[in-house]
Amino acid sequence: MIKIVGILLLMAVCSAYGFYRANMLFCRKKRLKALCLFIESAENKIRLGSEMQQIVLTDGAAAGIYLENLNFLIKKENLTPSDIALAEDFLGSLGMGDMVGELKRCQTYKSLIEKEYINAEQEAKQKAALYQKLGVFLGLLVGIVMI
Amino acid sequence: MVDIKTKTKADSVLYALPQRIAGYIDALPIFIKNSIREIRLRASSPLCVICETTLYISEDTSASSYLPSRPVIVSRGEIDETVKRITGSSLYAREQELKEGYLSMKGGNRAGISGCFSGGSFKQANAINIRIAGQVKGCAEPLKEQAENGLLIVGRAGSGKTTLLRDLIRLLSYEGNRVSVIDTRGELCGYDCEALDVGPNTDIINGVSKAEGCEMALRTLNPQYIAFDEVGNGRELALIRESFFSGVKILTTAHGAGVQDIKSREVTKALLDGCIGKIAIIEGAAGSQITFTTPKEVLCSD
Repeated sequence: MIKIVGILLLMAVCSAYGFYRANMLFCRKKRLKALCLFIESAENKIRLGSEMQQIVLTDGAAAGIYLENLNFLIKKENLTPSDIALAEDFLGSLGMGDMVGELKRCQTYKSLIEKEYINAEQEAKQKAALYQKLGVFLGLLVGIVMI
Repeated sequence: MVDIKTKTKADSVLYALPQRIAGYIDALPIFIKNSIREIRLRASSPLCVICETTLYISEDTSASSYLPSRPVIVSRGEIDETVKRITGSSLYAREQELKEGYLSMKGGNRAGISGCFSGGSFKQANAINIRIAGQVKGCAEPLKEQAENGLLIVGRAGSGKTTLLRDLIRLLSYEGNRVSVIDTRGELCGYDCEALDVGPNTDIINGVSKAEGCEMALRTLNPQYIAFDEVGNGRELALIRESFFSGVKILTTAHGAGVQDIKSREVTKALLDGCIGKIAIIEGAAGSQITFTTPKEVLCSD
């Protein structure tokens, strides 16, 4: 009885891990989309002359951007190191240029992050189902071997 | 024990200063904090405040009129942080102000910026002079009677021209006169329009040029007085004169040390031509001595 429960538990853990990895891919896609939307909204508000701190306080939460000691920072969960480097590069000197410069920066980083978003979307499409299936099959394999 | 903290004039600008600098200013004795007119931050130079005289701040939080052995040295990073704090991390939003070399702050305070400008836009600040707006209620009592046909207040930089004009606006407004203030740089009434008392009958127009403001006020606000600070150049004055008609009196200020300065500057000379009825010349420090003259007397003097 204990053996069966243990095997079932192992199968569940393996499957859950597969689903967790698949979910990470979806979350990355979601975060990059939110970042694109934030840049788009910031671009519009910069044109209207809103203060950057205000923009981040109102729109930043959805994209995981927050203000700490006058610095704009991003929550790193579910993002790859290259996504984080790109976002930090963008946030590093946000609001410290003239309007034309800021708008150009927004457009450049929006296009770069959009590329990453498309990659993330394709990756999620290709790998998410694979991770889920691998998880389940690995669980089954472990179960069969243990029986 | 309850810590009772008295609010001083300097407290209104502490929000804009980096934590270390704000700490030194906050630690000064109350009588100094109440008399601070300017806080000067220069990159790699000692921190100083301007009261009646220049006071250098020492690392042991004392203030002295001579350079102390251990002065508080302001770093370039702290200059950048101050700009960031004042602009809310949005240089682009204050581009126009920066091009003119200043930044408006809360409560009618103003920061003068000197630094590097390239291609017509601001690049980096080297020094910041934070000017604390003063409100001395009643200081313009002697000017009230003289302002009936418009008044030009002339004085050196830091002589108290803006403070006098602000109080004159307040006094006239409390007497039931409709006063429109064209506060281009938010210096007379502050952008928040709450920190400084300019009276109950005062309409404030912010963020437009003086000429545009005058036109707006005349068209919609039916003012008896139009007040603005420092006519900058002849072009601005020409536009103001165009939108101006008899019946509305002008209250304004100009830089200058005396009658000769008024005559030698094109802008002030042009103002004398029918725009104002009297001229108040501030001669002593901080508005201590004011003499009155008329445009006719100025134009006829040698």
